Amino acid sequence: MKILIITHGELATYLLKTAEMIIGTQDENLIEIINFYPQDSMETLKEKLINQIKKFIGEEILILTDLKGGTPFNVAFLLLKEYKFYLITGVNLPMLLEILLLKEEEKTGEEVVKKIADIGRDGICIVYS
Amino acid sequence: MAIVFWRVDGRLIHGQIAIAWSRLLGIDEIIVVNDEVSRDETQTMLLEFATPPGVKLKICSVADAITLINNNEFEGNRTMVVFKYIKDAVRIVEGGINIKSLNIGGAYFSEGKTQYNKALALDENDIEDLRYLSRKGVELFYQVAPMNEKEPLSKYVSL
Repeated sequence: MKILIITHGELATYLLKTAEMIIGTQDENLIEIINFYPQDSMETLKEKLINQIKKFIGEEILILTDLKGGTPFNVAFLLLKEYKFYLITGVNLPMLLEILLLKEEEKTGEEVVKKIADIGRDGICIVYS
Repeated sequence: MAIVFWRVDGRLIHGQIAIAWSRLLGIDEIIVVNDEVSRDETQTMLLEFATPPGVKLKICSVADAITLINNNEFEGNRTMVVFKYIKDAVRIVEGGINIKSLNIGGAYFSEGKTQYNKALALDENDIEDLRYLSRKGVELFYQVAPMNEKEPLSKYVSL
């Protein structure tokens, strides 16, 4: 399964860098990143995304975005009509670490995508005294 | 009338609208106004997805929006109207609706437009439309996100 992270600003870049701080440097080709900047148009982002999806053709694709209703999510959502991929929004560090820790052969099918999303959700909890 | 905010935003409901503007203005209803979008199933599904929890969503054509506003449909709500294009706002005003103030926060670049600021790209038709709105007494301002400075549009184009 190919992984692509698209976020506002440079969150995607630094999310990956931070994950590497925890589990060590990753193979460069394992995860692709698209940063979305204020000056980028929706069309530019769409183009970048399509190019990246085309590179992955024939493989399962998981796209992670940061914000439900944000432009990276919206652009990916609209492409679900033409291309086949899984889309998770609300990407966080626990989710990303899980992806990086899974073996390549384990990263396949809907179940594993659900598990990745669950890990992200479970990473959020309240602790207080 | 309980429409508290009018905005032109080609991206319709996205981060700035869903998270920033609607929260800070206490919006409980968003009306997206554009003829093509109101007929597009996929876009409708996306907009429903993108609408923040607790906020109602209506997607309508310009003609339907005029009817709804004239019928005081939004009375008692804190409604935000989002136009896809400046020309949609023009048609609303032509339809007899009074817009006090219109936020231009997402007029994005496309071929043939001149870029005046990050989210302010206009062509001659847009400028004509803005002049029409200005003549009709609509206050026009450029402001992308609520924490940005509010600037009169006349700073960028002569109205």
